[in-house]
Amino acid sequence: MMKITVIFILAVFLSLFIYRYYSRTLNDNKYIAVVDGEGITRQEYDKEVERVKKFYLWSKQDYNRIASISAQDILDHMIEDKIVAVYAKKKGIFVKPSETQERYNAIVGDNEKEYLEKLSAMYGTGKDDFLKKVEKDILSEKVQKLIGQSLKTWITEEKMNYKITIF
Amino acid sequence: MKTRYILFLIIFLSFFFLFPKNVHADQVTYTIPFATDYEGFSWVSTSCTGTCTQGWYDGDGNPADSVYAKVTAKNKVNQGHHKKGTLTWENMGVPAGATVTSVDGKFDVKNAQETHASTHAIGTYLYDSADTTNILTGGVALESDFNPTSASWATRDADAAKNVDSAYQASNTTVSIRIKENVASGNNNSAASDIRVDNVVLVINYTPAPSGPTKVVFTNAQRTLTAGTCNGDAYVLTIQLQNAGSTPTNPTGTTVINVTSNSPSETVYSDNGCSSSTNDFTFSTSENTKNVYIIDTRKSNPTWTLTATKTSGPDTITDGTQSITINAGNVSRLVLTLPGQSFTDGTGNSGSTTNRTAGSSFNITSISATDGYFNVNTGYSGSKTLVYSGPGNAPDSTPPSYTTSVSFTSGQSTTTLATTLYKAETTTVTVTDGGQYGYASSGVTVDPGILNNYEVVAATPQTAGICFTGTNNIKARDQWNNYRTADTSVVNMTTNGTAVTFYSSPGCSGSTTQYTMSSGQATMYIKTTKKQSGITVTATKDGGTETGTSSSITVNPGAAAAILVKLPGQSFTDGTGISGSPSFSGLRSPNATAGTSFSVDLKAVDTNNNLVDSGPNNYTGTKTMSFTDSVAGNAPDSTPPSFPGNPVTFTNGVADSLSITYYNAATGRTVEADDTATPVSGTASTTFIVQANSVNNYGVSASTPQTAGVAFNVTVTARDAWNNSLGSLYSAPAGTYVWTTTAGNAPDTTAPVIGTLIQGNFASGVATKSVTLYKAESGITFTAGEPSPSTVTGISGGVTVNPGSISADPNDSTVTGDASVSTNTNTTITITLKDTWRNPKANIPAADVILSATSLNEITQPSSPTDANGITSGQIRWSNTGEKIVQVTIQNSSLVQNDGSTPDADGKLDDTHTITVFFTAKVEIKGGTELRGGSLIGQ
Repeated sequence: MMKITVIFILAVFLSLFIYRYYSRTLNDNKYIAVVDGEGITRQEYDKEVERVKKFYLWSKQDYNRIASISAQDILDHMIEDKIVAVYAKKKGIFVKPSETQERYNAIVGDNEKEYLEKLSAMYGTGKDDFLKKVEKDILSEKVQKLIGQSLKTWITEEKMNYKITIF
Repeated sequence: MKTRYILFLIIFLSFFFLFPKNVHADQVTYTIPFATDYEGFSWVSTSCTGTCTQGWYDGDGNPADSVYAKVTAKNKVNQGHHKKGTLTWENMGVPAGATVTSVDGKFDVKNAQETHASTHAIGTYLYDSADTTNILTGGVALESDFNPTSASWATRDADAAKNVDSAYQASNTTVSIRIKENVASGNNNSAASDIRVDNVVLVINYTPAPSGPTKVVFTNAQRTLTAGTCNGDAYVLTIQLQNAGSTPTNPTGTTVINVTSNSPSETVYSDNGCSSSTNDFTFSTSENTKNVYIIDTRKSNPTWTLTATKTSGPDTITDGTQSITINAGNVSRLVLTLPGQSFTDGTGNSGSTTNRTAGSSFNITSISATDGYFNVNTGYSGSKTLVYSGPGNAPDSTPPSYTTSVSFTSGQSTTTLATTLYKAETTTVTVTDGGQYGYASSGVTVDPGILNNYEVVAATPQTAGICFTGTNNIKARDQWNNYRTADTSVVNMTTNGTAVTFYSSPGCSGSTTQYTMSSGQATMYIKTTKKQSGITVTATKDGGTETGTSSSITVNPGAAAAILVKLPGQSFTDGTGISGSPSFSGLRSPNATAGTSFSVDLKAVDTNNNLVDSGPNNYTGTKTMSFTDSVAGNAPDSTPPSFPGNPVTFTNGVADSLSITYYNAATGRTVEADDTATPVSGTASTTFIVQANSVNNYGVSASTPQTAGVAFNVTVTARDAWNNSLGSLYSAPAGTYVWTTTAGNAPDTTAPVIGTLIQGNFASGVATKSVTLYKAESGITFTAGEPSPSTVTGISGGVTVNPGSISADPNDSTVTGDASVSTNTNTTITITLKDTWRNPKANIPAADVILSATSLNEITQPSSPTDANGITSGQIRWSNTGEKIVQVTIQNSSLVQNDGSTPDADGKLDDTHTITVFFTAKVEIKGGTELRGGSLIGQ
């Protein structure tokens, strides 16, 4: 009986180890970074890299010269955005769709078509992507207002308080 | 006369009686009727042994209700008193300030029930407020105890007035009134007694306070004043102390009258100029009237009420009041009420303004025409053309927009006041009517609008290779170029420059492509290794189209860090440096030719190879250059290289076409120019080859010394004018060459052997001739020359030929001496040493020359080396006679056979010397020696 129990326990531990190993591998493949349990997927990251790359090419920059720097910058900012998002979630700060739409309207004004065409040329993005950017901007402004200091300064300090894993 | 006196006395007395003294005795009666209630009394029991009831009795009194105490059962008592302890003399009617001197008392009493005979005690008393100390003197009871027997109401008034203890005489003294009822029942089980009391009366004698005014009165006519204006003497307010008959009356003691208004904004003054503010007006005992001045800044609607109240003084004075009208003053302000505020007539604005957004239209809530105290002047009406000021133009010069044609009704604007401000600031708005009535509004903060562009400031000029200095930042702006100080956007950085890198930290560390706005701005850290001008940097909002570009930036070269040398055939590229291989012109092109000048260009560059041709580091003017670090070398004939003299003039980083001549033909040559004064280290040029110029002479050389009879080489080298060997560059011409020597024949007549010099002897510019000389001599030269008519020739240096080895041959080296010698007599042996060609061998050490001879001998070996003729000598003597052979052995020095080179086998000179030894003439024969044969020579 004793022997069976020991074997059972070992089997459980082995299963957990195998599960953890493989799940970790899966996570590593799926996420490029995790901020306090909130993941940044490689797909999101790659999309951002591609978006910014398109911008630099559109701007006639020597992208190869800055590609690695840009990629790091993008990841840094995605992590910072995630910190803001996590904090906002904890504090119950949200951006209403109407707020996003209002800001969007103010930005594009009466030239929505031209604006979106330019965005497409610059970044290869469309209205939905831009609305997400607008929403993120408003969220950042709200968090900054709540914390009462420069968001960048706050993030620099706040990073210490977050568990950030980069795969 | 007597009549006059009487009349005067009558008049005096009349006055005395008509105007009595203020101080006199007076009386007041205080009655407690218990008509409707217990009148604040309560029962204090001291003993109750039966069934006791007491209190206010409703339904029986004189005439109405009363108080009672009742007890039932046999021989029982109900003792105590009805007490009221909250009365002052003044409550009982004594005027304030009066002095109570005595009190008399009485009451109505009724024995309402007494079934069986008993004795009661009913009386009234006065105690202090604590109800512990009797306050009367001359008797304890106000009305002493009495045993009522009548079943009808009867008044009990037995005692005279009792004096009041001096401690309790003040009119405001609180006293306690006791109505004592000690009721007893008779000696019967059904006994019951009930005693009722009513109409308790206190007759209080007092001395009233001295008489003074009883009221204060505003004696002036009702005033209508203007807000904020002192009424002055023209509209003076007068307060007067009067008695009840409205006669001006001086106070009996110093009295203060406080004058106030129910206006929230009045100030009371005592002087007609309204400079000494006070609400208190002090009256001495000799005055009863005061002037009161006032400034009230709040208009009334319709009036305010002035009140004069006594605040101190002995007299009882009732307040005086008067209405006063305050009208608004002339319009002096146009008061703007902004969103978030509300305007109240007479008060102005309240509430905080709410922030506006640049470029967003809003309505000013109202404009009110008021006096200097926010009192609306209702007379300000009609259409007005207003002018606004305060808010500034936006940074892009857009001016604020206002509604200037405004209608007013009763001092209030009625037009919608549409307004748009464009400058982000905290400011006030002032509006005027024809330049009048301007009054700054409350501060209003205009927030910037949404992000529209970036201001990108980059200081210029900058220096290549150095992190940009000065102010280099990005500021987020709205459509009107207001700074968005709360902006958090991220910008992507681009540039039209070359090799421009953005960094995230001071000192240009941590390269980046993005900046994040912090408080609406970000500092750029930029560096480029490239000198350039007209570059700009651009910030574009990540994910957006908002952008901003700096003005043109010039990047100057850094300080000169190196002097580059551009050789002929090479290229210099600004920012890159020297490239390409050197290519010299001249005889040895593409190599340099010794003795042929070439031009170099010197380029002063910074650490990034930018030509230092501009900016503060511009390398220009005269410079002191040193070429000593060049790899040049002197020519074989010691001719040094030729470099440009100092100073060298640079123009915008360049000193071109400097002539240099190298004379030393060699590989691995460089030119390096160092600025020793600035200093700036030079960078060695690309290495190059200097080749010999055309043939100019022969270098003829042979080592020296040589040995007679031993062949040695003499080389003939084709050289240029500076003795650089031409090597393979030399092409020997055909023809008969000059090839001679100054060497002579040997002593044995053997002639030198030098051969002939021919074209084919030359290989790579050098001909090597093997020669053999036989005569030992010095200063021998060899002369070589190209075939005529060439002048290319050369003479070697002097060569010394030493003799060869000692020759053992008797024809060369000899041993000579006398043919005979006497015994025991030294004879000199001469040794002459020569080589094969009979060149004397001088300086052969004495020790190398060993004499030997047939015995019996005694040899003195040579003691000195051979002389210039190869001669040395020794001595031998023999002690016996006979023919003797002398031989010479050579040790250490080489001894050869007649061929000049083969070592001699026995080490002895082949030549010997034969000598005959004779007895000397003085031979002594001692003993028995027998001489036989022969003869004695020389005796």
